[in-house]
Amino acid sequence: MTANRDFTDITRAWLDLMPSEAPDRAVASILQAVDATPQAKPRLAGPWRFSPMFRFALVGAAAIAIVAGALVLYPRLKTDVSSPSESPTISPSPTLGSSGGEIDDALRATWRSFALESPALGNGAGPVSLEFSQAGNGVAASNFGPGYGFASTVTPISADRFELALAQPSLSCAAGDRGTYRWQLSADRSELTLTAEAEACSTRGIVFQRRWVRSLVEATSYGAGIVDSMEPSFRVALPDYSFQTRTLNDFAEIASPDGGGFSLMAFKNPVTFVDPCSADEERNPFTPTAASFFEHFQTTDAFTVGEVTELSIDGHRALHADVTGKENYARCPDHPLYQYTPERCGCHFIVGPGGTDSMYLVEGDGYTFLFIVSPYGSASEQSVIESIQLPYGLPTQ
Amino acid sequence: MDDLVVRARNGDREAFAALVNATSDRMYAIATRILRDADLAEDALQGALVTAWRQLPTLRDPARFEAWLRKLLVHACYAEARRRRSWSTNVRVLPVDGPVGPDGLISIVERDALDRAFRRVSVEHRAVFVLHHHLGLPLTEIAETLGIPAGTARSRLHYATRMLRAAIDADAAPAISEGRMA
Repeated sequence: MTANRDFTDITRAWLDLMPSEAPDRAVASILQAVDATPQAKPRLAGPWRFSPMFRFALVGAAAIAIVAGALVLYPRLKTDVSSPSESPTISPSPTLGSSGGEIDDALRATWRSFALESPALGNGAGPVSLEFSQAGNGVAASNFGPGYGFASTVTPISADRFELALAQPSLSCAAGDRGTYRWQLSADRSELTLTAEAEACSTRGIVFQRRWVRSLVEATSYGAGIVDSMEPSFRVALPDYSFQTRTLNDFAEIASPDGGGFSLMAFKNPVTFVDPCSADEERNPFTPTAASFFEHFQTTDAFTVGEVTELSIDGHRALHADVTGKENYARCPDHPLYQYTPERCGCHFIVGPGGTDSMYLVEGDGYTFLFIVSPYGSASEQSVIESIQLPYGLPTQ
Repeated sequence: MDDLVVRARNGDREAFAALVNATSDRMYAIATRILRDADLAEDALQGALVTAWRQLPTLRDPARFEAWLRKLLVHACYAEARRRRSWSTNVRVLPVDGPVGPDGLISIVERDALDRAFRRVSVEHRAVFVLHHHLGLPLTEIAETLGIPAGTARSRLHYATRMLRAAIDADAAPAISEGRMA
C-alpha cells in the first residue's frame, strides 16, 4: 500500500481531513472575551493599570458560573464594599519619584494577608489582598473597606525600597501623599514583608505595612505561595515558572505554559464515578479516606493501579499510587474513562487510554485532597508534594 | 493587514476583530491538527487570540503579526494539551466511517492508523509535524516560531515522521503478506 504512494502525500491528505474553518460560535466567543479584556500597556509607556484578572479564556456560561462561584466563595470582610473599579480605573499617576525604573519582578503579584480588626480603619477581621501591577509601577490593596485601597504609583528608590505616591485622594489622605517602604522577600519568594520608613498617609501605612504571602490563584512569576480558592487554603512551592491558575469549585490547576507544561492540580473531596464509561456521570458517595478512593480504581477493571504507598504530607496521612486508564478497554475502547471529580464540582475529569495519573490522596480533618503533578514523572513532583502545607493560615501581622 | 495590526496595537477593538476574522480559520486549522480535538482547538484558539490582544502593544513589527500569533497559538496548544494531562492521550478519534481522503489518497484504515500513532506523539512533536506538513514551513522558520534550536525542530520532525511511517507500514504489512501467499 505505502510503496506505491509517497508518505508525504498520505500524511498531507490525512491532515487535510481535519476541519479548517473556525466555528462561528468560537469566533464570537473570542470577540466577546477580547471585549472583556483590557490590553496590556507597554512598560514605561503612559499611565499604568493593574493586570487584568482574566486568566484562562473560558467560554460562555461556564465562565460566568466559575466567576460567579469564585465571587460567592471568596471570603470577605464584613465591612468590605470596595468598588471593583477602584483599581482598574485609577487615573494617571502623579509625578513619580526621581529615580524611575520598575520594582523587582518578584513583587509583581497578588499577595494575601489576614487583617485584624482596626479601630483606625473601622474594619472587621478577614483576608485582605495587595496587588502590584504586572507593569511594576502600581500597587493597591483590597478588602480593607471602602476608600482603603490606596492605589498608588510605586517607584523603586533602592534595591529594597520603593516610594509610593497616592494616585487619588482617599478618606484621610491627599493625592500625591508619599510613603517610603522597605520590602523583604523570604528565601523562596513566597512571603513579602513591607515596612513603612516614612508615610504621609498613616492609614495607608496601617494597610500596607504587614507580612503578605503570594497568591498562586492570580498570575505570578514565581511558584511558591498559597492556593486560597478552596477552603482550607494550602501552601505549596512550585518551580519558579510563570503560572496561571484555573479554578472550579474545589478544584485548582496552577499551570505554567512557559514551564514545559508543568502544573499542579488540586481537588478537594474527590469522588469517583460508578461507571467509567458512562456519560451519565453517576457518582460514588464521598468517603473521607484515601484508601476508599483507591479501592474504587482497584476494583474497576478499567484501571490499573500501581503500588499504593503510605506517606505523610505535612503531618497528614496520605496515600500515593499511579492510576492508569487501560488501553482498548473493552466496554468503551478508544474513549476516555471517567475518573473523578470534586464532590462540589459540576465537572468531570477523565483519562485517555494509557494515560497515567500519579495521585496523592491527603486525609485532612473530615476532608481529603487529591494532588496531581504534571507532566507524569516530573522531576519536581516529590519536592512539590513535600512542600505542601495543609491547611495554611494567612499571616496576621 | 499591517494597518489593522497598528490600529489594534493602539487599542482599536474593531481592527482587532477584523484581524480575528482574517486569521481565525488558519489558526484553527493548525490547532485542530496539532490537538486532534475540536474543543481543545477552540480553547487554544481563544487563548491565543486573547493573549494576542493583550500583548499586542509589545509587538514591534506589524509585519510579524501572523508569525507571532502562530507562536502564541502553538504555546496555547501546549497548554491545552497539558491542562488536562490525560487529554494528550485522549484526543477525540475521528469517525471511522467518514469520507475517504482527497483523490482516494488515504484509506480509512490508514487514517485510523495515523490517528492512533499521532496520539502517541507528544504535542511538541505534533506541532513541528503540522507546521511542516500542513503549512509547508521550513525547519528554520519552525524553529524560530517555536523558539527552539533548528536541530531540535529537525529531530522532532524526524521522530514524528518515523512514528507515523511505522504506523502506515505496519498497516501495509498484512497486505504484502497476503500478496505473497497469492
